[in-house]
Amino acid sequence: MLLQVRGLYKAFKGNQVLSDINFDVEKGEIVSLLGQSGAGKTTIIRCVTGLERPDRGSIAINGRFICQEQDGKMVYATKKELYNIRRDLGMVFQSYHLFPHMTVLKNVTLALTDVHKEPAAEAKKKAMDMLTSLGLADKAQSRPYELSGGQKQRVAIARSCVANPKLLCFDEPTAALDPKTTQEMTKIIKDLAAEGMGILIISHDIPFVKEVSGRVLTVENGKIKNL
Amino acid sequence: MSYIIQILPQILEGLGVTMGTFAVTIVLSIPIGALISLCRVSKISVLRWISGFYTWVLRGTPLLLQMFLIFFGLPAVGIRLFGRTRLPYVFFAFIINYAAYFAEIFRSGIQSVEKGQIEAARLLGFSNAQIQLKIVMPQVIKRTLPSIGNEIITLVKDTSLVYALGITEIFKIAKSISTRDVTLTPYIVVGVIYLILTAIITKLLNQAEKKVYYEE
Repeated sequence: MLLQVRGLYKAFKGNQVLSDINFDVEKGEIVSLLGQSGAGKTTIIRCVTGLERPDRGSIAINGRFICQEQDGKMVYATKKELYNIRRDLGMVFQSYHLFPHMTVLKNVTLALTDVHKEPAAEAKKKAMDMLTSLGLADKAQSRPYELSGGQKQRVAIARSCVANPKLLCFDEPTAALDPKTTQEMTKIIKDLAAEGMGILIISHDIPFVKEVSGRVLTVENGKIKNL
Repeated sequence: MSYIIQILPQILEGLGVTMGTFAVTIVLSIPIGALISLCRVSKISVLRWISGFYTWVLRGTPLLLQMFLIFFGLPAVGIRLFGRTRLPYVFFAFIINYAAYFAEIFRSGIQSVEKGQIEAARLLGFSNAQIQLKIVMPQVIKRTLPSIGNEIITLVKDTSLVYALGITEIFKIAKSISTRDVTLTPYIVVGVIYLILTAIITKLLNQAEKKVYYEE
């Protein structure tokens, strides 16, 4: 099991946002959480990526726990554990969050050279291969501000995927895309899954979700329906 | 004109103190200000509180007052940080004052960097130190450079406050020549010197701004 979420609860200032969330993502599977804004989708993905701490329940990525309950008490991964778990994890944010002061290439290589300590030449080759496969080879020296929304998103995908994560999360991947770019995005995501990556998508775009996903779970008022 | 040429060497003798005060203050107050700004945005509330109090006091009272308290006040109560040499007390006053202003500039810069970028970097595996150094700092420098430039220009002129402590720098020399010869010309000469200094610094700052510039 690549991602396992069990009995997740989360409240913000007494406001219950998630109640008893359970789902899995297998290797090579595309799972979408569909729901309206405010349903709790974003909180789920933030818990899965370790950006938010759930109040109860467990999350495991590739068998390693981000959080779990032990003797009725919540235990969270330490900084070091979280760092190791995140090597298996990639995330494409809704507003991409590219680094504006770097070229596209540098955005993609920085984690390879500075986190994974790969030699610069090797990092550059990997990044260029990744950018080429996403049709962005000619944008390597551009700055983020020069790119369209769809291009920025592909850079964000390249940045998250270049270190070969096992699970890739997408936050509203089609929110800012036109129909044609949405089609391209569908293909890119399916290709990544075909290579064995597990994909978790949160979205409110019903046609896109139906088209791309192997499994769709509906989130409503912080609960998952039709499991 | 010959009068100006005659008094110029005397005035320029004070340039060392003027430039020295300027240089020492810049070199030390910017890193100290950066440290204070990190305290201002720290998760630890005690650090936030202390650094907030520091900037409130140092920005909220006149530099001249701080100079007097440090220069006369500290030795009077037996605190002789730098023995009997006088200049270090002046430097000290300038540094702690300007550090407070730089801290506030850096704080606003740090807080202007999107939180999402930091989360993205964290998910990519960067450590906190790497995030500050590679992601936050370059953006802070670019965004704050114009305000930093303003402070640097102000500092050039603020060095003239040193005269109030009886220390010889270009303004004090101009004042004594002016009294001696009963003429305002020395003041005009010093004015031109300040203008030349700020012109050079403005030019350097513009070049630095161009260097760190990128479209967002």
